[in-house]
Amino acid sequence: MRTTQRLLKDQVLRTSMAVVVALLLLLSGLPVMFSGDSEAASHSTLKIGMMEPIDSLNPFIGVNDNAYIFYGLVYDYLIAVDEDLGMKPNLATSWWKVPLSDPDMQASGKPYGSVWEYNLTENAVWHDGEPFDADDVVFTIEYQIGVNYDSMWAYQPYTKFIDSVEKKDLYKVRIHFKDFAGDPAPCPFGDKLMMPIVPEHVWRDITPFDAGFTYENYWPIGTGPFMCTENTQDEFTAGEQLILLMNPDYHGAIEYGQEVQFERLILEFYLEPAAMLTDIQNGAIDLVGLSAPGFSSLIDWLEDNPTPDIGTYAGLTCTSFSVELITSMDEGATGVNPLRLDPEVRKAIAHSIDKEFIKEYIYSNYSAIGSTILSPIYGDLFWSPNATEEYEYNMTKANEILDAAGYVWNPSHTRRMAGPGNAYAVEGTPLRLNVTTEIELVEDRDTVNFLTEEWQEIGIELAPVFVSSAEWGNIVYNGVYDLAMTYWSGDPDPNYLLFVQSTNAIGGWSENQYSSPAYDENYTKSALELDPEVRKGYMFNCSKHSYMDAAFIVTVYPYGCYAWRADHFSGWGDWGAHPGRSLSSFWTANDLFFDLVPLAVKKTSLMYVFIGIGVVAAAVVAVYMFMRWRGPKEEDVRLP
Amino acid sequence: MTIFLILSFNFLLFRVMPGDVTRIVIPKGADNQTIEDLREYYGLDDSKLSQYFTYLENLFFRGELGESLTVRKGSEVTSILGPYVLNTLILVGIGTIFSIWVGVILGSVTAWKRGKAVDRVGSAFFIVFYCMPTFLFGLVIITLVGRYVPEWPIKGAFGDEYWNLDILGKIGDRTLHMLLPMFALVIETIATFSIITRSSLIDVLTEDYMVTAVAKGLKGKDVLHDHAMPNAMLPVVTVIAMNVGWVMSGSIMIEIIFSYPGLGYLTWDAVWNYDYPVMQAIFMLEAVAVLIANFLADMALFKLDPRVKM
Repeated sequence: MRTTQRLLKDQVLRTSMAVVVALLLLLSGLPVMFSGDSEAASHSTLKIGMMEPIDSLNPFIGVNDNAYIFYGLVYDYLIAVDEDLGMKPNLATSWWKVPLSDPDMQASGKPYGSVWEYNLTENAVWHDGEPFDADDVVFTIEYQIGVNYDSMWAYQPYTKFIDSVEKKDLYKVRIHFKDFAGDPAPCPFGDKLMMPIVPEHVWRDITPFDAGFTYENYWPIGTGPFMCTENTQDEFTAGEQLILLMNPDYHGAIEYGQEVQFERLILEFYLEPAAMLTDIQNGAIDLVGLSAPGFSSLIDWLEDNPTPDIGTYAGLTCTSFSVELITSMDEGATGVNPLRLDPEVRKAIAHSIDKEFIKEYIYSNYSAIGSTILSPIYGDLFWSPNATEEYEYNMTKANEILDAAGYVWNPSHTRRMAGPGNAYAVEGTPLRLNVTTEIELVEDRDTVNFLTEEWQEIGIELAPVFVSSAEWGNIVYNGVYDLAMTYWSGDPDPNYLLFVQSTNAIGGWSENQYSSPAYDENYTKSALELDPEVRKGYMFNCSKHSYMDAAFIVTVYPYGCYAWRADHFSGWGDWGAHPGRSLSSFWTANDLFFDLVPLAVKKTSLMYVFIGIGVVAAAVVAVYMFMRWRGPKEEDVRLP
Repeated sequence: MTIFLILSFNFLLFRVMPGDVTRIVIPKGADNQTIEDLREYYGLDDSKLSQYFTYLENLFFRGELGESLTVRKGSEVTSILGPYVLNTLILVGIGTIFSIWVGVILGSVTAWKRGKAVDRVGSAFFIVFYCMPTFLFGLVIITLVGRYVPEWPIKGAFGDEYWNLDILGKIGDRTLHMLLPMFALVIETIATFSIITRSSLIDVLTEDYMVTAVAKGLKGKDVLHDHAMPNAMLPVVTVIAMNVGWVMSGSIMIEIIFSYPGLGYLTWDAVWNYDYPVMQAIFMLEAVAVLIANFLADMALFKLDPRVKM
């Protein structure tokens, strides 16, 4: 019996040894296993590092920034954005407002600018080989308007203004625009409809409800410069990376000389920034978007290890990315502090935000001080307050405003409360405001913690509520908060962002239920005005009203921070002079992707590592054999 | 019966959590009609009892776990879980087996040589790595490997060429990607098994029957292997059962640090994004895994110690 057990133990020992040796030999043999892969490895590939996987392959569902980048690579739009943020032809080769002399316009009596005509390319082919034509454009738009409008929520800031679409011939369409009342009305952004065009033959059997909420779209078919593959579904569900192939039949190559010069584009998803930062330093990825702290670390590293191989850029994003502290203006909300509705409280709050500190310390200087939702990326449409309008950082002034509004300190002088005759709450109501913040957003969290300390000086007790993004949406869209941190990004036409603070957005896109007759009047006019200068005036008024009401306080415009490998590709260009080359310019046909030329990269291999592992494996085997040859050495038995 | 109770609890748990699921599905809000349509689509306008029976019916008769609400919007939960379960089983499963194997050997060596240099060095080693925060250790590995072996992949469960590789290539690719996170995992978990094996074995070595075995003239290794270890393994088996049960829950920190998409990360993602169907499915998997592991542990204990009656 004992002999059997002894044999069994020896067997276990041998098996264990065999496992170790097998593992080591397996590793040492990896290069051989990969030998069949040499062809794939020679492809020219652009790898883009991203911090979170895209949330949907369906362009009517996904909402994160990476999803929009993906859609812009696979799908085309009617009109694209050039490197200077101007408009350039894409599926539409030309476009114009239909003149009043047109027989149809005369017959309908519609105002000038309410009907736009688009000539479409005859060279575009869907990735599955089907030809593209006007029916696809008509389908895409009709899919999202009328009775389908509610379900197809993704591009509502555009579809809200579209009355109908008309096919004039196989490669010509007309879009008819309307105002908020549904009447024909001029549309100033008919050349900036930033929505992907989808193939009718793929989507026609999918109900708008499914398309808007549940359809997976596992093999996205577009006409864009890059194509998905049969592996896309597996790649998407695995969440590691998405591999796109260059579209050899891309219409832009024929019409606009826009030819992609590398074979594959890989979106590589990371769950933690340290590995992504290490990979751009090592050259494992070619292009990456970083957070301000991550970018700051990279810049520090580059100062210690200067190299021409890594290029960097930090600047305003093309999407006018802004961060805001918003006040819930929902007068019917219960369980929240009514004092937040007092304009004097909001003015005091506006004066007590040290935006310079936030910019410098929380964003490591990789941001610009904010004023309204339209950042300076909009050029002359950016409005900034003059000296008399500006809510400068001034705690003394904030205290004076609150004193004048009758807010008195409690006996221990730790917090203010409503004084007698307050129009918003009974006397003694504490000036205590909660601020709902997404806990994942480090900069927002730091901002709130900073303000909590700061506002003790003016007697406002700030109670941070840190929640997940999902819970944040739950709280904010139900209006049950006093203050909240939020952020916005928009499309090339300012209408997209100005819509957010209009009364029309309440019940939909509005996060703070803000409603101002003056704002609405100017917004409505701006949405219908064709004259750029007059329209600019209305937009300035919107910006000014929003700023002065202080219910939507823009703290900073965080920079888009990027790094790339100049030793892997040439043609990165000057992103400062041409911001439309940056990754945040995701409205298809980004010039960057046509200018990048792969360079010969000296690839070092892991061969020496594997050889080392092989040597270790051999040494382990040798030691084991020696021990076996020498025979067992008995231990003294020493029991306690 | 236990599984049925687990499933019922799983259903109830997510129905009492706060929040309107329709508000989560549409990040930028929706009008009332759309919200009503969504509630109808997800069956949320039915009574809780009706939802419960639908849940059981879908689970038992159709094998359906629902659709993801936020993590992979609209995708079947079963299709989402597949790759994550595989990744976790490979990393945490193999890592745990390796930890058990090495941990028990190291524990028995340090117990057998207690008080000697091997024991002192070994015990210090266990304690240091047991106490070290996983994320810190992971970051150190990434930094060191990234600097000195830059070609070695520091993220993911497999590389870009994975889908084009044959089966051997796929195994090799996964092995290459798995080594760093597995090293971090094993170093962290090995101490658990070493420490418990060591203390259990030291207890056993003080028993009278060990003196008898020595007095009978048995060789040292025979005493250890044939008489001490089987008894010392009883508490170790219990700990192993608990750990094997938790294999399914993954190792969140290691998965995040090494961008390794496993069940731990998926759980974290689903919880943060209120993806109830995904959470339900993961918790069901984990509960069943713990149940099976406990059953197997009972069987092993019965085998190791005949005094234990089933």
